[in-house]
Amino acid sequence: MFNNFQTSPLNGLKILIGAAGSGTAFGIIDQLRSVHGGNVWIGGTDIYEEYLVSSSVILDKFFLVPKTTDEFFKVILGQIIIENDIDVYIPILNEEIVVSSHFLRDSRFGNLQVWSSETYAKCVDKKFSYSLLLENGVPLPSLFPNSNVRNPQRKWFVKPSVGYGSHGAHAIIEQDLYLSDSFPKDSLLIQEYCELPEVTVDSFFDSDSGFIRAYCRERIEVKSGVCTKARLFQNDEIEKIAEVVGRAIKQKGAITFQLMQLNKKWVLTDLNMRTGAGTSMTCKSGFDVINATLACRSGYDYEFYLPKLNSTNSIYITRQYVDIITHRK
Amino acid sequence: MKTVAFDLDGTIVDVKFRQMFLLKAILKTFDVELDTEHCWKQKRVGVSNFEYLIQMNIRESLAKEISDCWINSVESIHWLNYDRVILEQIREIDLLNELGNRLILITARRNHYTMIHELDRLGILNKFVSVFSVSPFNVALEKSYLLRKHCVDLFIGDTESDFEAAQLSKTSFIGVSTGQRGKSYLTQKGVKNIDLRAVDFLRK
Repeated sequence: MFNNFQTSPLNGLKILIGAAGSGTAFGIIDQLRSVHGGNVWIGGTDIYEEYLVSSSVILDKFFLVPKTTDEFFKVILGQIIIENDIDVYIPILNEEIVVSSHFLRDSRFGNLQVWSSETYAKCVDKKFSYSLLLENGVPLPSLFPNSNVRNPQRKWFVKPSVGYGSHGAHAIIEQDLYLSDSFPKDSLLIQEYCELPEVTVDSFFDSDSGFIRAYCRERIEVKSGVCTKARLFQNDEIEKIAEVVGRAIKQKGAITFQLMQLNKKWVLTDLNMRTGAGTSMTCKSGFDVINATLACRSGYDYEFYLPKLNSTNSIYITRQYVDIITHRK
Repeated sequence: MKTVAFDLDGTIVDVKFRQMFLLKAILKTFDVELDTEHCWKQKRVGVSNFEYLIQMNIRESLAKEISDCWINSVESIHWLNYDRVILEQIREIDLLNELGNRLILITARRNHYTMIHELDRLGILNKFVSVFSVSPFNVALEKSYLLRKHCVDLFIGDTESDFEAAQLSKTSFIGVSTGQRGKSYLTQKGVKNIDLRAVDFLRK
């Protein structure tokens, strides 16, 4: 007699995940547990105390760490990884992606598997990733100014060049760009305003084999930035874009990016070098990009985690909060 | 054509992680550590959650509170997501279906809705012509009623309650030792056929 938990070749692996209090991290830990159960060791780091971190109930160990902007963050993270013989580090925050890319070049970390790379770390800067994607032929909205012709009422979209979760992102009309104190600023990316629908793509690509899967999520309802109703679908044009992106960034595993429409064509409006909080919706629908990434990066078969979604089908997913008691005093 | 009934938890589906990790999570809120491996070993020799907590020197009222909390959470969709099918058993089910047998599922679950959702998620709902839930507090009697009503020829389960249900309804029984009870415990309870293949058993 045997079952999936017992036969996993990844039994005994020690995984550390950053920003354990985030929805993204919870989704990853939850999905890893769904396949590997207690046969993988999972630790998590966060700036909040353990009792304020939902994922602590499904972690083996929790580590309190300083903010990523703290001068000691990198040292403390490195110590945790070495002292606990971590095999895999999964960064979530942009700063974690950058810091952990340095571990790849540090012999003290041996064969540590990091879900990051030098290219991933550079792509955290949206101006860099924009240039890289443009060079590689990814359809993108143009940047301001896109011509010498001024149109005071034309809409643009402004966001910080390093950021996440739409923090600080907003629409603005051209005449206000000239009036705004924040214009022009090197830390901003100002791009053409695009039309709905907005689609998030959970994209899996293996740059070694060229294997691609792009699962598209249309956000039907969003509450406080969190997608609560979604439609999952497949689109050949979007999959081609995902493949181009994957080759450009030498992708290994899953990332997410957003697309919107410009003149009825899909353009890439945002790129994240990791999965997102909504990726769990894709995973729960049967397209397990999380465990596929772990298998891929560990050198094992992964295709069975990623069935093709028929382009004529849609899957609807709704989300409700789960209440988790973490501590009693 | 024979009618074969299966239990669910521990027989077709591996529930160890869900059951143990949930108990561990609840105990953690009380600052109590749980050795999940030791707890599961005890469970497989018939020790209930409540009894195990008493063994851990947890006072009776708190042990009851923790057990009740566990019972109220163990069938939530979120925790059920951690269940996985036992592949060997699914292969047996598929073979029984191919041979033209009639399969039914009888499980002791309080929440019929999340149970159906789970079966569908695991892709096993359509392997059974009927699915029944009985009360977890009156398992043997209620399962035996269903075994008798549906003229079941063979019942496959992993606990002494399943065996008792088979005895009450005079149904042949195969015990599964990789679920919530171990082989020696099942033998001690009088189960003679353990870990046999249903297909082979029916041929005899």
